[in-house]
Amino acid sequence: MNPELSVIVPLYNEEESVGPLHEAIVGALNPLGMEYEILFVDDGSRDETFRKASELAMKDLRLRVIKFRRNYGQTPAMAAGFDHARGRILITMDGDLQNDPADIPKFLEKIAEGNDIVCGWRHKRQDKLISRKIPSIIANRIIGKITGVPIKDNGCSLKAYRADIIKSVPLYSDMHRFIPAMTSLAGTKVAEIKVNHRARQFGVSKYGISRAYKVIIDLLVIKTLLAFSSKPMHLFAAVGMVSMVLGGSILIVAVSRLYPGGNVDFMLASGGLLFLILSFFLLLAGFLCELINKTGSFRSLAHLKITVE
Amino acid sequence: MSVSVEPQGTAMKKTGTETISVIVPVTERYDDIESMHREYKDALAGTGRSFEMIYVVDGGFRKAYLELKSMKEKGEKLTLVRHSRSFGEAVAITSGFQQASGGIILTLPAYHQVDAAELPKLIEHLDDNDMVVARRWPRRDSKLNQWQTRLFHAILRKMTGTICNDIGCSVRLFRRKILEEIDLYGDLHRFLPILSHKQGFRIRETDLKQSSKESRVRTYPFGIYIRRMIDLLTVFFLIKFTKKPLRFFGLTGSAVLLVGLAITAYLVVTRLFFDVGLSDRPLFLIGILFVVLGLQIFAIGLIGEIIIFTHAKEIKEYHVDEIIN
Repeated sequence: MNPELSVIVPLYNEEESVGPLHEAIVGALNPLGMEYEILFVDDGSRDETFRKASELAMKDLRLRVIKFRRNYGQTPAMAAGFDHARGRILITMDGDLQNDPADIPKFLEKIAEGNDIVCGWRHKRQDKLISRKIPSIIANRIIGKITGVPIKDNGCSLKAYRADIIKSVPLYSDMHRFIPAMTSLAGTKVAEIKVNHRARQFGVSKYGISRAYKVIIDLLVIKTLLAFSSKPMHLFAAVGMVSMVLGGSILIVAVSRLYPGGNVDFMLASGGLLFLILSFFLLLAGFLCELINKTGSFRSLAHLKITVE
Repeated sequence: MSVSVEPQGTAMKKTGTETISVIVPVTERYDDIESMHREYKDALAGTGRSFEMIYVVDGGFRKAYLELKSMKEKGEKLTLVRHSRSFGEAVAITSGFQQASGGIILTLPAYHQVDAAELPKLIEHLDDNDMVVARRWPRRDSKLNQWQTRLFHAILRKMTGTICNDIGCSVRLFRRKILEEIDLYGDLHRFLPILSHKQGFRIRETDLKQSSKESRVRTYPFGIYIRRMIDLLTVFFLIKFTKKPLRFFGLTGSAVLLVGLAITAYLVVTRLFFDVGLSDRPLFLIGILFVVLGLQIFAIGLIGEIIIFTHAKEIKEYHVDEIIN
C-alpha cells in the first residue's frame, strides 16, 4: 500500500548528518502513527554519504536511497524525489540538519486545513547577518513582488506539498526556489508557517552569494512565463504593436518631410521600415508560442486548477 | 542502412563482462592496416585480457577492405563489418558496437595516433571510472597548432565543465553501458566524452605518448578553424542551450538592445540639442538595427524557454545510478 507521507531529503556530502537526520525524522514521525516513507537523494556525494545512507536503508525498510551518477544540484535532486515518492503528501527538507523534523506535524495540520503548499519560514535564522540574512530578506521581497506570491522565506527547503500538485509542476534548472510561484499558475493555496532553524553542525554551506545572478534571471523567466501562461500571444502582440506604431510614424514623418529636391529621407524611412519588420517578426513569434502552448503542459496546469476542489 | 557482417570464429568470443571489444572504424584516413593490427594486438595481448577486434569499413574503401579480408583469410581473428556506403565515423562505431560482445569497448583509429605500446595504461586507469579518454601528450605538433588546440579545449572545458584536453584523439576506453545509453550520429563521436559527462558517467583522462608515426600535415589548414567553431556551436547546442535558453539569449539580447538604445539616444540628443540632422548619420540605422536584433534574440530565447518549460516534465535532468529499497 502506498504511504500517506513521503519525506524527501537531498544530500550532498553530508556523511555526518545522515545518521542523526534519519533518527530525527523517525523520531518526529513515529508518534503520528501514519504510514510514511523517507527518500534520501544522494546528489553525487564524494564522501561516505551513500554508504551510510544505504546501511540505514538495510535496517529501515521505509527509507529509500536514490543515488545520482554525479552531482546535479538541488533542483534535480528534489525533482528525483518527487518522481519517486509514493505518498499523498510530500515534505522536502535540507540534509544538513538546519531544518527540524519536529516541525513536520505542523505542516501536516496546515495541509489538512486545505492548503496545497505549506512553506517554512526560518523566522529566527541562525546565519550571518550581513552575508546571508540581509541579502535573503531583500531577495525574498523582490521575489514576492515580482511573482505575486508573497512568501517571506523562499530559501527554506522545509516545505509540504500535495503530491498531485507538485508532480504536475515543471521543475528544471534552479526552479525549486520558485515552486510556490510556479504552482500559483494552477491556483494553489499557499500557506506559510514559522519553523525552527538550527545553525549548521557539520560540513560547510554549499551555496553562496554567487547564485544571485542566476536567481534574478530565473525570476525574470518565471515572471515572463507566468505572464505568458494564459495568453502567450499577448506579450508579443503588445510589443509588436508598439514597434508597428513606432515604425509607421517614423515612416510617415520620413515621407512627409520631403527634401527640397523632392527626395524621401532615406535614413529615417529605413529606420521606420526596420521597426515594421520587427513587428511582423514578433507577431510570427507570438504565433509560434501559441502553437507550442497548445501542445504543452500549461494546459495540464490549467486543467489542474479545475480538479483541485 | 545495409551492413554485411562476417563474424569471427567463436574461439575468441568469451562473453565474460571483462572482455574488451576493440572497434576500429576505417574511414578516409587509414595507414597500413596490417601493421596497425599487429601493433594493437600485441599491446592488448600483453595485458592478458581477452579481447576481440572489430573493423568497420565505412563505405567503399576497397584497398582497406581487401587487406582486412585477406588478413582474415590468413586466419587472423577479427570481425569485419562493411557499410554499403559511407555513413560517417559515428555510425561506424555504432555498427561496430552491435557486433561487440565485450563489457568494455575500446575505440581505436585506423591510423597512427598514439603509441600502441601505451594502451595498457588506459585499461589500468579504467578502475571505477566509466570512461578513460586518451590525450596525446607530449605533442609533436608545431607551436601554433598547440596553442590553438589549447585555446579550443580551454573554451570547451569552460562550456561543458568536463576535463577534456584532446577531443580529436579517438582512443577511448569505456564501459558498454555508455553506448547503450548514448545514440551516436553525425559528428557526435568526437564529443562522446562530453555527452557521457552530461549523462553523468565518470570520466578520466590519461596521457598517452603520441605515435611517432602520426603522419599528418603539421600546420593545420584554415579549414580546421572553421571546423572548431562548428564544434563549439554543436557543443553549445548539446549542453548549454537545451538547459536554459533564456539565460543566454536573454542576456545577449539585452546587451545588444542596450547598445542599440544607447546609440539611438545619443543621436536623438544630438538631433534635438545640437541640431545635427539624422538623415546624414548612418549610425542611426545601425542603432535601430541593434534594437531590432536585440528584441529578436530575446524573442527567440523566450520561445526556446517556453519549449523547455512545456516539456520539462518529459526531460529528465538527472540520471539515477542506483536505488536502494
